[in-house]
Amino acid sequence: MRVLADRLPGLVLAVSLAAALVGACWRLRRWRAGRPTQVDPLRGLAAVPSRYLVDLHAVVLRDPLGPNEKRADGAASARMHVLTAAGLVLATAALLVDLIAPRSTTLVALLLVALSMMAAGITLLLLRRWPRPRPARLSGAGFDRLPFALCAFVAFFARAALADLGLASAIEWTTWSGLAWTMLGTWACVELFTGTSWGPMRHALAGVLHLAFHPRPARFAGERLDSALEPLALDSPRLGVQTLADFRWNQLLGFDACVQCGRCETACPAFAAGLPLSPKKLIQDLVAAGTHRPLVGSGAAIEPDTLWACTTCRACVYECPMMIEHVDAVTDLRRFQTLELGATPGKAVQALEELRATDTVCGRSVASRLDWAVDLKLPQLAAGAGCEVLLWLGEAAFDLRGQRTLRALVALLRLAHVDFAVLGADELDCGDLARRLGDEATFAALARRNIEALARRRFSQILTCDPHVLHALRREYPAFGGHYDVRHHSAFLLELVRSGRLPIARSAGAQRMTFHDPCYLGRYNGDIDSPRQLLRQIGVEPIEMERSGMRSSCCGWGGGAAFTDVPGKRRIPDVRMQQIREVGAEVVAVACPNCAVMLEAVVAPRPAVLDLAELVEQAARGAVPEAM
Amino acid sequence: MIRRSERRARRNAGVLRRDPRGERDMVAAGPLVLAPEPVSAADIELRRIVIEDPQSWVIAVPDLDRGRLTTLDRDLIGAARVLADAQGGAVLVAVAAGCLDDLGAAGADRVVRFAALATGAYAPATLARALVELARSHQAKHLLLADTPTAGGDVGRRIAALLGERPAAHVKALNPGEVFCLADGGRKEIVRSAPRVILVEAGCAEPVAGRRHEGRELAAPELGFDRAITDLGAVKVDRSAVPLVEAELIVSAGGGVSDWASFHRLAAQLGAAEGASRVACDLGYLPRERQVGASGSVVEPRGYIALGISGAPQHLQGIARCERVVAVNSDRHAPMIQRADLAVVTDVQQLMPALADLAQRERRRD
Amino acid sequence: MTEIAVLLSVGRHPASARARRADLDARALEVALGLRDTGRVHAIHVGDPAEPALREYLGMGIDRLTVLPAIGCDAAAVLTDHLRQLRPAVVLAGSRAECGEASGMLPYLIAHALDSQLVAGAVSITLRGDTAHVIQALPRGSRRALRVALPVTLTLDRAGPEPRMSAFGPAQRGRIVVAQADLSGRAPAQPSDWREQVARVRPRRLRSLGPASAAERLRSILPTRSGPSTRLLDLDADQAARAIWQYLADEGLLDLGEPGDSGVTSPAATQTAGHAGPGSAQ
Repeated sequence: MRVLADRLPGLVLAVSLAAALVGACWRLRRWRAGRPTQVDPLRGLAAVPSRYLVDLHAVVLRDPLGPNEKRADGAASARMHVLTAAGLVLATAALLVDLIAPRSTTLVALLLVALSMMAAGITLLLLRRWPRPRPARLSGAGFDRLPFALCAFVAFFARAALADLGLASAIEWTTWSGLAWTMLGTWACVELFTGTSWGPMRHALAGVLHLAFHPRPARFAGERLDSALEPLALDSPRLGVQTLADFRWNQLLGFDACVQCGRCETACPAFAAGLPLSPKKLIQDLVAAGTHRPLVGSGAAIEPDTLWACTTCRACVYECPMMIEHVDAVTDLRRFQTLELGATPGKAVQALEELRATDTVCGRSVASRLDWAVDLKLPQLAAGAGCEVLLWLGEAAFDLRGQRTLRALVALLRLAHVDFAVLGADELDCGDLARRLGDEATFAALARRNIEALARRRFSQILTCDPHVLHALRREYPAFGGHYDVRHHSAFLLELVRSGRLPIARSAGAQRMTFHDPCYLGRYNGDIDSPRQLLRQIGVEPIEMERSGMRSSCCGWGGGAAFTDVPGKRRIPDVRMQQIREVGAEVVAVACPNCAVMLEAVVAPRPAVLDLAELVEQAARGAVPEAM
Repeated sequence: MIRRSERRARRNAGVLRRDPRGERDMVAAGPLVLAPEPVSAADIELRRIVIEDPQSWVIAVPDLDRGRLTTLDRDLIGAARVLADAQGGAVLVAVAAGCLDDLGAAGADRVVRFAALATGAYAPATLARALVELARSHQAKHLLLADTPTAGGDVGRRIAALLGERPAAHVKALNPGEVFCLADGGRKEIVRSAPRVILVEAGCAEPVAGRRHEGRELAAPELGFDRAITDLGAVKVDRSAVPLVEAELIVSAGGGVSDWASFHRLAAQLGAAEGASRVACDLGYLPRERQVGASGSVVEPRGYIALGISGAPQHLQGIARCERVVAVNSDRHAPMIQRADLAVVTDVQQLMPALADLAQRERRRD
Repeated sequence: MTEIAVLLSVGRHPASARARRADLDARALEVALGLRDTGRVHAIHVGDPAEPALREYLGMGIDRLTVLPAIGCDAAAVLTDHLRQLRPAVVLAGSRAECGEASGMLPYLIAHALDSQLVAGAVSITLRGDTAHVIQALPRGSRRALRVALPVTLTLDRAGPEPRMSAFGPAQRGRIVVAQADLSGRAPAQPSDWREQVARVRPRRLRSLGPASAAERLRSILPTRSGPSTRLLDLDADQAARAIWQYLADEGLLDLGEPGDSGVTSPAATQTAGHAGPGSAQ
């Protein structure tokens, strides 16, 4: 009896861990309802420490976005979590060992060290949070209980450990105070351990497993980027995701890992413009949904407007410390809506129908893609012929604004004597718009036909001014058998300038210029340096906005959002233009024809919008970069 | 070539003409007189043609629009004339009783008015049968109707089905020997000899001008009664809510409009559909379906009135095919002012109630 | 059980000339899908069963499409035979095909052969016992209501309801059923003495004459003001209003619809303001 009483704290812990295991099995059932998928379990589990300490912490260390966030909040969060989590893990391990092994003072001392780490972490948290109101991005709910649960844990086990070491009086478990201590300890353990199945501590179990079995393991290796979507088997009985059971099980793991920190929400351009989309709410709605109920619909877990407001910019994915893939979930849901229900909204329907019928988004014939350049006499690459650089014109060739960019780019290519040609009528739309809207069938058809056309020609590189084309051709066509060296014009022109093939006048521009990173160049393809280097080459030092580089804020075109046109309080490009104005820029340089169109649609007066090609062309003509 | 009296009147009124050699603005002064002096019928002498004993008959059945001949109707009668004159025949025009226009001046040798058929009433089956009977009694070589979906085109196809003959539909041009029918989604023409039933499109022939025909009234045959279809009358339609692609007159509001009550009243008074620029839709003043432009609707009305719209390229793309554009803006350098056929630089907020009041007064005069 | 037949043809996109679902026929199918709870919908096509564009109709939510495999001969006779057996209460069709002769005669021939009523330019239909309540689209956005005895054939044009999007999954899984058709002794589709040529673009007249008095018409024959555009500056609101009103009147834009009215009006109310005599210039 005495012996048992001494081990009571350990028993409490053990029992709640056992309960946690039971709960985990229950949770596992829900995850197993998902579709099977290939993972490497051993490699994954082995990689967890490095993924947690390196990749996850890199995300946490970034300060959360938003006007009311304190500076260095990211580092503070990291410190707090390392202390608390590491302390908890160590304490638990020590307690378990203590339960089965003979009593050892070093073990108890170790326990106390772990508990003081936890105490330090909690103190840091309280010092940081208590004076200020809670940031709006954080949901309270279960997480509000967690500091208290941790305090209770620390108090209970520290008290028991101190008693054990003789530094405090022994606890009489049968008295009222002993009972109170027991209840405190039980509550703490239930909250912290059994709660890994249903409470805020769910993120611990699901988070660790999610890191281990992540759907995109390539994110943690190499260039630390994995943004290409997977093709869909178009003969499946059901295309896309209708219920939770249609998600892959490791996606379901990911949703459960959400800690509701709201960093995704503060980064989301749709949320900032007041559209009905919050990535955090989206994930939480998925967590709370019934396993076999349709997810999207009026009155269902996710409203259609929420789904179609997404611009697929991946800002939420980039900011998420739990590495959740929101955009993959959105795309999977959209695939069902488009391919099975035909429920694509707004003008997106017309865009998809025109793509299917004419291979262009605007519904004009592919032969008319060169109409804008009749006077330029662009060389066309016939089947069987070869050239050095294949210039992919894209949908920009049909749009007045895009044609200005392309004209500048062609002028630069000619100036540098680049051996280039265009595909002519064999160039179909790259299919990016169709894929983001969920129409895999049209994307697959376009991809295959484009790859066939490209296979009949010889070239070293494909050059494009459109990051959406860059992403589709470089990262998504390989799954269909097309492997190409695709360059964006920012990187290509930089190379030309650096090698001296393109002579430009490096004159200091009188105007304040900032650079708006395209989502599909920065977050999707990792290149935030080439445009800036290029601007420096022409003598401009760009002013950096707070949301720049990999944290750039979307212009609102991507994911078909410009077509589905979900209304909000404001328009997404207006939000971005305000950020541009706030930094005092007179000119904003862009590197995507869609960004140019969206930003130019903001009502005047506004800063001028110029593409990198236009700026470099002005410099090449010897003029000082100036606004048009 | 503008007649001198008219030119003088316009100059006196201070109306600015965009000088083709350059930009010379003249400031308006004096009262505004835009209406040219009317020409009375007596000023023009028209040759009068009477055909007493025609060799053959061509029957033309115009649609009429509220009792008046439309442009298409005049082309139709012109086409009938082409066929009739080549054979020494006469044109018989069959209309509903309420036709207000002078059919002889339009080119009819004989006129048959169906008294029991009021203008705008719907009885295509009985009309088709009556026309078949009329064609039989006159041994008409051709029956011409306008190829409109719910009027002449409907009746004409019923006639063709009754006669068991293949009509020539969507006829874009004709001469006495051949008709040219538009086919294959507008890509091809079918050239064939003129059959009995011909359904014509606008511009197939020139309307009759410079001469007039007799237009002698003939007795109209009795019309049967169709029990199977009952016309329940017009359905009340909110004029300003007509879909933009169907509307023939659109009044559009842009960012320069702040008095929305006036705008709605003006649209109602003009009987025009309401449109909007992207800015007005973004700010929530009009629903997105009313947006005109590249990302809204591309419209082709006969008339387009743009109020307080600056004229962004995307908006101008939406009205690229408009025939008549009126623009009102306080900014004289707005692109919409350049695009418009009639541009007025004035305060939009004051103009809207003034125009609405004027419209109300003018309509009440009738 | 009410049988509802929809006649579907293969359309062609104007820019790419690629086969696709015909827009007007898709609208007809959309109306038919709205009648699903009152009847059984039969989608019928005359032509090649292997045509891929037919799948786009299946993607609208019908699980089967019947094809009468008659190529190159007159569709009307083949369809009439098939429909005589089916005896549909309602036949829906687009008013005009997107390729071929596209005379728009097919619904009329079928209605004549089946002794069915026909309403052109229909927008919606509600079945009530043995009659149908049909709304017909008139020019300028007006609408007319009709009560029609069954059986009825309806043709749809662009005023009809917007067709729903065709979804890939149902399109792939839908069935195309080939029906028996007696093709013996069918006349060829087009008489051999007809000639086809590429359509010539004919110039459009600049000014539409419109309903006008004789004087107006005469004046319009003499070229007058349809030349360069007019810009008015520094007018006050009333002057500007009068100028705009005059312009609208002269261009014949004012007799389009009465303020806040219903569609069809009697002839007596057709006089419009703006046909101004000299004294009315204000």
